[in-house]
Amino acid sequence: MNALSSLSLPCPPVALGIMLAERNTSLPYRAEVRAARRGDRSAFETLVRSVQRPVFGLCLRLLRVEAEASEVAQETFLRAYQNLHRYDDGKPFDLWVMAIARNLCLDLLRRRTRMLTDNVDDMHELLPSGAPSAEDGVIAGEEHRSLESALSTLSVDDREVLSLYYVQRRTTKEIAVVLGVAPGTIMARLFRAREKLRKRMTAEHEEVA
Amino acid sequence: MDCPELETLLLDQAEGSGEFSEHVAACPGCAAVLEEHRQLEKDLFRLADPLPPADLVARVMQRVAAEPLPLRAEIRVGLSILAAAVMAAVLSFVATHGPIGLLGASAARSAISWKTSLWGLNSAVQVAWSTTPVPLALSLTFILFLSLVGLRRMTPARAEIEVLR
Repeated sequence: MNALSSLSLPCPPVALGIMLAERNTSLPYRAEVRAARRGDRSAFETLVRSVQRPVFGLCLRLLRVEAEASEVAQETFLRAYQNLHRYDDGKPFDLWVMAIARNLCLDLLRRRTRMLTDNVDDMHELLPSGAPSAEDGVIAGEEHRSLESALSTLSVDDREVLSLYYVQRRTTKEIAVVLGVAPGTIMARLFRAREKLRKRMTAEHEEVA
Repeated sequence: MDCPELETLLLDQAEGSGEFSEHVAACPGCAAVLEEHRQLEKDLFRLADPLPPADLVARVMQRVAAEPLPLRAEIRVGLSILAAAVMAAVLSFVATHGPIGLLGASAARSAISWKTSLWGLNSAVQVAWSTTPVPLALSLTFILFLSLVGLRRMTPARAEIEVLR
């Protein structure tokens, strides 16, 4: 799949707290954005294919319902197309789209009148582990489900920062752009979110034991 | 043994300052928590985004096809603002009485004789400027501002400003 091949993720850090803050962010989508502005819809389709996976992934992490995540992802790209003239092409296109997606997700979450925890199990089937590594192997299926389960019980704020940093390998500066906050606050948010996740995991293991 | 706040401990480890490394070496509780965080980070980094629905791109492009082209939309917005600026100018000439009204009259005469028009325009501007300079200057500034906004909307966005590093 094109979207899969377009994602070039760096090797994960193996030590605690290695910050993904200094990656030199290039602007790989500039030519496509300019072509799309001139009316080239195939260029916009290329852009959609390139960023659909992180956009849909973030939507699903925040909304936890596949149908809603798909609908919001579509709406995100439509808004991006309608507002291409507002986009500053000196900034990364994917972060701009991610910020749109996040805002739409938060709008939908505010409109929700009931909790959708009953759909969490559906989401577990959709969230895969990363590509197997020859060195590390994959997390055992049960451990993976346990981690996803604990992750899904966190607040939206915690889920989004963990998802962007660990799943999508965004730098703290990139996350700050998407969330619209100061970069200096991201590491502290990550620590707090990870600590909550650790406690949930510990409690779950104790229950099992 | 007094243990530091966990966030302080984690930040210290992340920044590599090592201020609490001696404490961690001597405190099994803090060492265990740090090890759990390390393991949790490893596990989190192995997670991946789910694959989007196979028809997501097709659905998006179907909706995009119903939208006007972005360039046309930009031109339409820009021209709308310019048209508003022109309308404001025309209305100010037509609706204003007194010295500025002469400007409207001279504009009408321009259809008959360009020499007469130029003479009338010159006279009207001189009269208007000598009698009501402030309203005239404000009107011209407002019209110029609207025109510049319209032109700005018709040009592509800047390609500079900050680039994330």
